[in-house]
Amino acid sequence: MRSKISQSKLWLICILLSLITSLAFAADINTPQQLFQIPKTITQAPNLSLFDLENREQRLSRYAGKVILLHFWATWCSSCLLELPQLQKLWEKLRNKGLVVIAIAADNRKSVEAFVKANQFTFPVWIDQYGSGLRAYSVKGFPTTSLIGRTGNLEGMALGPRDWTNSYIFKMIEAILAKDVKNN
Amino acid sequence: MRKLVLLGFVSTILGITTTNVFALGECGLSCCIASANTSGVTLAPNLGLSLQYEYMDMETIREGTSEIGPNDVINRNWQPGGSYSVPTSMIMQKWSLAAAYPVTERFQVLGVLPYIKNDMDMRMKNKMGMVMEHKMDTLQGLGDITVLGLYTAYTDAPIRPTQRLTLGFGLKMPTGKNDEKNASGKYVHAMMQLGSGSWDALFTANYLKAFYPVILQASLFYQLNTEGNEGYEFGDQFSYDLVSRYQANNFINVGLDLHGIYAMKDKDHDGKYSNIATSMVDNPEHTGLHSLFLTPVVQYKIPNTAGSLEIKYQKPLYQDVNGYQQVIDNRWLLSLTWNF
Repeated sequence: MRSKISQSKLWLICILLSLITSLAFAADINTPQQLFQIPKTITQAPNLSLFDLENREQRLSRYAGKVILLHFWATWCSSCLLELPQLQKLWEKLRNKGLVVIAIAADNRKSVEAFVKANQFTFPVWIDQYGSGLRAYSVKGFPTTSLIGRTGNLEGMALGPRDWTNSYIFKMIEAILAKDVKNN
Repeated sequence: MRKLVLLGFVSTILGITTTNVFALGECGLSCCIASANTSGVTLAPNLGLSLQYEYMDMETIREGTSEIGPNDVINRNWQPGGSYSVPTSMIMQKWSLAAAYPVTERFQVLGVLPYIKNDMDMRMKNKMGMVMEHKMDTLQGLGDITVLGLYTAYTDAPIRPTQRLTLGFGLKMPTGKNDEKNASGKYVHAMMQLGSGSWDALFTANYLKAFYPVILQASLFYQLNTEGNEGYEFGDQFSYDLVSRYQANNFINVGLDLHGIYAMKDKDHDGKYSNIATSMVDNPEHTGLHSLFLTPVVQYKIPNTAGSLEIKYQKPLYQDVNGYQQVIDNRWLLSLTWNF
């Protein structure tokens, strides 16, 4: 006697298959290779000298030995405006583990000041008035986030927005921080 | 024709610096810098290339600010036993390739390579008193190459600034032929030659003020002309532009420009190009003018690319010339610009 697979079992199999597939894709999307484009050759991250919102000169070399997310943005970029609050949350959670977030605004000071004040961001915001940062990091679009390791090497670049509150991304950044501590 | 060359050059400069249409156009989920350059912001992020086509037609002859017909000019200047010729129509076409490259974040080099085609119809009254029409041979070829350095003296943002001051200095080089001769072995009119034969200095200043989506610019341009290798010296030229752009949406900018030009009289030091008694255009006394043009503009950003198209139409509002001169009636400019 032939046994037939019941319709309900077929549905269960389909749902399980879908779940497994989506989990597999989710895992792929959140690998370091998906979050950041890894450069083919390791290069030293260019040093930057820009002015912050208090008009004080700041240098990237001041943060030597730290893991840095260098985030290029502008107030006229809609994706950037959604992403910055997420970066703020990420930084608040991981700053004590050595993460530095620096937001480089390729925008006029007045607009940036107003936006930062309205959103109460507390990470450093620098003004790239003449585009020297954009040029040094070959920024082609906003937002762009460069990852700089404790060695001062450019370890990855993310073009486009990322969900920095995503738990996978959070764990990944945590792992990068922990790995860099071990290796150093 | 030098005033026309200057008009063309200024338009090219303004074109490559104003043609980039603002767009919050996304590259994927991000905002591409190349496609987000706003109109008038200038400065290609890496390399900017522009191909421009210019068409000018000239029929109207003026004496001062008044219009005068070609027959009246002939009748006033023709002497029995001699001849006198007057242009009845002039068409100038120019194809220019312009490239802009940012050497540093504040300094950009711009080069313009023109290819020119000039046509002229003339009316002549000969020694017998007969009036005849004739066509000048078409002159075409490479014109004078120009190289210009543009320096950002001040800006408040590298992209989409609200204020920017740019200063420029350049050289126009004598790469175009300026010794074309007609069938009689005489030099073709200086104004119709492809080049000037001279090294000329260029100075420019541009100020931008933006109240997005409206952008305003004021530009000044001065061309200091020197004596060419055949003895002809075009008068110095000064031009001023007021530019306005409105970003109608992510893909279209519209604008209205005012363009003024003041040109001083030419000098023919060796007399090679002058035929004062027989030709209206071969008379340095009939050079130098002050003109004002109104220019509506439409710019279109090609979606999902770093390219844009621009169409301009220039119409003269005011023309005041020395002596008798044929002036611009219509001018069209079409340009395609790409940022890399």
